[in-house]
Amino acid sequence: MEKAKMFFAIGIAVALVLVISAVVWSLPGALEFDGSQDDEDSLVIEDATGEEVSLEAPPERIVSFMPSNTELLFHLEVGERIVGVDDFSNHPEEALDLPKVGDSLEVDYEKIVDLEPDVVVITEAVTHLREQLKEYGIKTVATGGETLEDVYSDLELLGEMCGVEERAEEKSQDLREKMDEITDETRDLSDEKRIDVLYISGTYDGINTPGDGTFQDTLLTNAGGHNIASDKDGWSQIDESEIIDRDPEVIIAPYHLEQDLEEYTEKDSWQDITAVEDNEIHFVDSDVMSRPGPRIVEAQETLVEILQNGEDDDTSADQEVKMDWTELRINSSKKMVVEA
Amino acid sequence: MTHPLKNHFKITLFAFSVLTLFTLFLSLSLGSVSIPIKKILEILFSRLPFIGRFFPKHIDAHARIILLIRLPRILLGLIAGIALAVSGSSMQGVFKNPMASPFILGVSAGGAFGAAVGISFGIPWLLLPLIAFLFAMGTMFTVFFLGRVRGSTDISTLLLAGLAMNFLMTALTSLIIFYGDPAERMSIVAWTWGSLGGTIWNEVRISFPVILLGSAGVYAFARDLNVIQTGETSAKQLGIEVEKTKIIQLITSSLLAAVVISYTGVIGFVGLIIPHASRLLVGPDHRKLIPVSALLGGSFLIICDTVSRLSGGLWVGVITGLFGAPFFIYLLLKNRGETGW
Repeated sequence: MEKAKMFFAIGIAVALVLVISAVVWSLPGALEFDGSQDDEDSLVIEDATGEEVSLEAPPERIVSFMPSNTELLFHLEVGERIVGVDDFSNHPEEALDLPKVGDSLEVDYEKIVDLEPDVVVITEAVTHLREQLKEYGIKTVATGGETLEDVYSDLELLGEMCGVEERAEEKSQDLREKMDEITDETRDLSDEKRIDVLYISGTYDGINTPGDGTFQDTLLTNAGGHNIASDKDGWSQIDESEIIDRDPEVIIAPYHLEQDLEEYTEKDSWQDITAVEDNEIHFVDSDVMSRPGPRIVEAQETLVEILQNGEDDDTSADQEVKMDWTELRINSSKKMVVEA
Repeated sequence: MTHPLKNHFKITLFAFSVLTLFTLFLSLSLGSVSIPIKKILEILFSRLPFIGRFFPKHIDAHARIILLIRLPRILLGLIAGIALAVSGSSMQGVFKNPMASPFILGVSAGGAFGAAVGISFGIPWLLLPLIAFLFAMGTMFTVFFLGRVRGSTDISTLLLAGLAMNFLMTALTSLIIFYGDPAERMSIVAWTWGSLGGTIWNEVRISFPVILLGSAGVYAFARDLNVIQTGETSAKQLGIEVEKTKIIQLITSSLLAAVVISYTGVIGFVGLIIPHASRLLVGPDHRKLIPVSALLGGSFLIICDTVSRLSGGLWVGVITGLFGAPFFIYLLLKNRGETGW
């Protein structure tokens, strides 16, 4: 009797579990696979990660995830197709008014789905978004977003995606020419003429610096500098003792680190560093300097100015940079006149 | 001690079921995109078998948000809450102490380490709960045998062994992520504090049947657990194989915690406070305690996770910890100088 009752109870429990599980299993139904069918897709592009993404047509609704992607899309004059951006996209001004969809640590997937994008543009560094968005039937195209060459190829990739290949090629060619022009006299300098420079990108948990493979390293080299952290791989940390040992002649850092950096430069151990001795510590706009987008031209100009006019003794680094820009433009236009 | 809901058990159970359903719908209606309640109900009911045809079928962005983002996350929260609460009830019954729980005994951390090992060795996601279970069970029995003093369990030794294993397993998890994939370093925080973010349907599909069956398994021994409370000698006299019951309970409760943890990371304190709160409400009879714990645990975790979602992604374990840690201290003070309850 007791046993029969127990078997009955177990039977009911198992049946209940099966029913509940079956409902849970089938609830999302076909919805899960919406948008991943390829039957009418005509546009197939290979993105920076080598993934082949097929789209029905050039996307009319784009969510741009990463500030550099936003800037590149606006540079391609397809900004009006952007329906949402990540929290850090603040340039150009139009981007500020667009709906925000979070940052790479906390993505607001609900918001992205609600915006009904044809595609979400991400970068290689945040490919974890790809799997998650696929779950919701949303396609992703990844740009490189890391090196200087990526800027040109990302521009062309996004151009191909948006159906404006020609414009993209022109713009990328134009960027390349501008960059070449700015670094004309500096990029092939011999080693002994190069200026030892340290770029400090952050002071979180030690001193962070862009090493080999970052576009900042390339920009510094092309500006006639020698990045004292170029033996390091990618974004890395540099010890204070290493900095003192490698003795940079110039130190460059974003504006927001001005106070943090003072704590270091006031130390006794830092007084023998040439850059500290000569007061060659310059502050720059970190957005311009850290995004592999169209504003690399501005970034490159700034670096050339800082490194090539370092001997001017000016206490206000900010003013110095601005003055030198105008000077550079006058110089280069003079040069063009002469050449013409 | 009086237990306010000790009598009228059927009404109590019904009330808690309604509460759970209410929490589920409430959570479903909250999020960064606002969707009208009527539409949410239509989206849900149109998907049910048989009655579905009477409701308009939506396939727009709102339907996707409800069915692909919120619903799986909330259902995983529900089932995770059930699993942790039932696991805690079982452990508290086995050790005859209100401070035992999968988190306090390091079992959750062990499961998380197992899952982290699985991920870094590229084990398919389907097998993650299995490897998490093996590690959780390993931790459980290590703690269990460390806590044995001359044939019986010494509760303070047990808790200290749990503390040590908790630290060891958390440290090992961080270590394997830190050196495994530098890009994933931020996920150490998610593993340590637990998160239901990015839940996908397949996780719900696996955990639902396993956890419901596991909970039923714990419930099947409810009567034996009751007898163990009255003393192991009397249990033996009644023909209950105490050691065997204990070991089966510990295996099942490790399984429950591990399946959840392999998808969410360590969510602490649910398995501690929910069984205790339920005991205050319905008394120490495990036949009442286990179902009430399950429902209360499910609703509690859904509420905590809703706070987590609305706060912009604060880890759910932080919220359960804010509730749970003061509660644990209260239990410590209350139990000073006593053994058992």
